[in-house]
Amino acid sequence: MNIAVCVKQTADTESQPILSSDQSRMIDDGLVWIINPHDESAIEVAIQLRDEHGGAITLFALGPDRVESALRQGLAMGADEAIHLRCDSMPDDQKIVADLLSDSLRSHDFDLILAGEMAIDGAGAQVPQRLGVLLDWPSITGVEELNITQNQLTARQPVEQGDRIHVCQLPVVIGINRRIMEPRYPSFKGIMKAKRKTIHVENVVLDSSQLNIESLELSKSRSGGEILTYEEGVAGKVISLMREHTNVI
Amino acid sequence: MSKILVIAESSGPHLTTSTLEVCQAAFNLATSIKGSWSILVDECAANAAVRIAPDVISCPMGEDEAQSPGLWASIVVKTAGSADILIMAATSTGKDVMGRVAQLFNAPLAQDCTGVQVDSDSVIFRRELYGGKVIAKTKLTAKPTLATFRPRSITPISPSNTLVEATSCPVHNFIPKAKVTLQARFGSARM
Repeated sequence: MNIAVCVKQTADTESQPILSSDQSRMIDDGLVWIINPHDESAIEVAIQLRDEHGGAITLFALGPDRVESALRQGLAMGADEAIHLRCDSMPDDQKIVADLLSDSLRSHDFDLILAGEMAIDGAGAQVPQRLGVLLDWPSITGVEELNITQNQLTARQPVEQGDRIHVCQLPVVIGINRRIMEPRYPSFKGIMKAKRKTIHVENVVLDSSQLNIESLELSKSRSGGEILTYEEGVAGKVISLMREHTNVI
Repeated sequence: MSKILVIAESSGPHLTTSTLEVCQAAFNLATSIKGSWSILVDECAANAAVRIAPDVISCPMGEDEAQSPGLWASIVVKTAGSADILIMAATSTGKDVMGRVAQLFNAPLAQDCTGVQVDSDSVIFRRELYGGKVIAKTKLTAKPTLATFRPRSITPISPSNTLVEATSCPVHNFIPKAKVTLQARFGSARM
């Protein structure tokens, strides 16, 4: 089974973002770059499927030169090949991302395409669905359980009302939720092996974006909250606080 | 005049709370841009929708069909007509359906918005990035404009005493790529 995994390098949301003086963009300096956690779980799923069914795993990542480190990490985890769609910056418009990925994916022969259901930085949450439409394949996103027997795939997608069970034939695009499984740490042997692997580079040109960030602002830090002591009438106070400050009741 | 279409989620004969919140966003937007708004709803919840929206389009869906995001997306594309703005709740279903709709329209999509405002004829969506550490004001420059709204970020709309007539929209010619069924799960679900 030949599997593609679409990987995004994201800023770790634990790092403190700094905005440019005109508040139009984030400053990259000081950010810690990681593989998007949902994508990291997708790599783990791919490794386990390949080990069970055979085949090879190819990673795809779009972005500037720094993205190479994410691909090296994915190779160290156990992926077989990596393709870097190199451009100057990461587009905010996910339509551009899906268009470029699908162009490259089409030129290979995959049975399964995995991607994170969303990226933790931009929270676009649409690349798997877009790839499904672009490739005219079934797509299932937010998947937390996946089984493949013969050529048939069964996936569990939790939704507000319960669990949706999707059954379809390969090839399929799957959007993985990180809860599906914990990704492995790369082994020392894997890291050394990954260093020697060639990352194939395809230079791509970004279309003009139709989703533009007009301005950014840092969120106000959360206050410490209010501590209520157990006393007569506290339940009423809780209810009035919930009514005044939240949309819960 | 701009037209806004709300894609509804329902639970039996009721519209979900998150859909009522999106209806309030549609009402506010329509008022700001002097436009109109409609709602696309599963037929079984049409009686609830006619008390909410000024224009209701209802689609007869089977129980399993209603679970298919692909089917919903194809209905939205067929029904959207001349809608300029399409909005839905940013639930698991909403984000899934709108991702497909966006690609079928070859249009950009702002997911999980926490607010919307009109700024000199432009619709600006508010989104949280980097785990909520950064707030972005986002403008979409293509038509139709597509967005989903995070549940609990807007006060739900209240039903009115005015009833409108629902227009029926047939479901046809859709061959699903996957068979989808819903399994109940223990625990509470938000209506």
